[in-house]
Amino acid sequence: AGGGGGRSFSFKVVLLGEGCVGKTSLVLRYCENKFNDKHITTLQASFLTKKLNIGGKRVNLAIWDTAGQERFHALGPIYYRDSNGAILVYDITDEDSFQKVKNWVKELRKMLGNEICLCIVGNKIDLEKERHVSVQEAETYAESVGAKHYHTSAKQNKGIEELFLDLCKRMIETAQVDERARGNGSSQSGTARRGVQIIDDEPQVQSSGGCCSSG
Amino acid sequence: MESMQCYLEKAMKSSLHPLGKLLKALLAAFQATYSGTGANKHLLTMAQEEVKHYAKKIWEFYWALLQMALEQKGLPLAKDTEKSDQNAYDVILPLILPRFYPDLFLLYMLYHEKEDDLYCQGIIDLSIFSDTKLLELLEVQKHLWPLKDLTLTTNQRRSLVKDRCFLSATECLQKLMTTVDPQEKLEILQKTCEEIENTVSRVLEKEYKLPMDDLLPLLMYVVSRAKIQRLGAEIHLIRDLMDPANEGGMYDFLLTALESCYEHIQKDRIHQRESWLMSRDT
Repeated sequence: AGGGGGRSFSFKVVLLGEGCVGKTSLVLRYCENKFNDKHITTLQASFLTKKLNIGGKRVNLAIWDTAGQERFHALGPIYYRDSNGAILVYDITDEDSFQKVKNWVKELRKMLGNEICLCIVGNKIDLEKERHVSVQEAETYAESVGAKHYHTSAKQNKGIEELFLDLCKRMIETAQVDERARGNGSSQSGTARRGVQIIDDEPQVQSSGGCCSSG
Repeated sequence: MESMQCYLEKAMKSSLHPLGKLLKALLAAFQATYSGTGANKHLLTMAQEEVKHYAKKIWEFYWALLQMALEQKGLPLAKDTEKSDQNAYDVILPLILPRFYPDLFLLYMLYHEKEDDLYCQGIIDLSIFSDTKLLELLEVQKHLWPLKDLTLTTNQRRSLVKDRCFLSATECLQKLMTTVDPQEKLEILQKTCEEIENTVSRVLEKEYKLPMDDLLPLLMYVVSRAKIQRLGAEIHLIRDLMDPANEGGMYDFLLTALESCYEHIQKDRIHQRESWLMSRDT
């Protein structure tokens, strides 16, 4: 995915979190609010796009929902490969869901390193009275893993706009640092890999579903 | 655009037109390299790159011919588009791919032989389940089950009926095997998901947009019922040959979802058998 040259960026963001934490309603809220949906696409609850303009930079955001069921956890790597950002949602009234977020963070850092911008999101702040994950614990944890923490309520539409705007800014930054590091190559040379690639017959142990790397 | 495509198609079929001659020679060279004794899975990367390279070169060649023709007639030159790569994928590849497809697909089949075998066994395992049992197994939420589609004859029990749910989506997905063009395959995949969504909307009697929590188990249901042979090879081919402009977009997302179903069906085999045995005993 990566940022392209000039002032236009395309980012892929995965949405992770347990079943009932409200991750889908969070994104639906974000994408439906503005520009009164004139183009209603199908499947818009699982794959969403949004165009933004941040300080003159055009950003195309593609948000990939994932299935939150535990039994599909092993499929994660197929979805989060090549993503620029991840939004990890937990329900503030459900400690378990916060534990799940921690597991995701560990996995993402292991598989993708620091390339990916992580957002940890405590959703359902409208249910403050039933809070089971303390603000301090969550924020301290986020800081310790180099992630940012946000408080949102999909129900009351709170904190969502800020979350995405902030994430986009961070992804732009990362992309620009990356670009500079690669030396101002005018166009990303799509290193045409010609020649025979000898690949081991043994199935790769890594869970990334080695068969279909977008090579 | 359409007339250009029509023209190119005719030119490539002609044994007298330079494009037709070129394509014939390329095909001969390709087959000499990659079919027969050359059919080795380690050559897959090279082979698919080569076909894409042909598409790019043929576009450039066509473009140069066009410019020459215009120049001779004293007409203004056509503007050079920056979309040359895009045209190679959108215009040329669908025209030339059918010629290379059988040999190329064989390489993909060889490449994914083991996984496709596992997946096939998984599909066979799942095929013994009745519709309701499979929906239950995949943890599809009960209120999304299209129970109305399970029309029963007098001596049938609902829990035994098979291959009645999500038929429109299943039949749609099966068309994947009969197409060559990756773009067309992606459209089929999208249509399949739309059919799933339509069926669910019909069940709920209101428009319903499926989040991944619901869509993925339903897609798994449809994939396991569609019984597409060599799904691993199909997915890999689409990913290699689709227009790179699709990366990160809706089609990429859907293809990834399909890939995750394929993986799950392979890996979840043992788990499923165990849970089935358990539920049978209780």
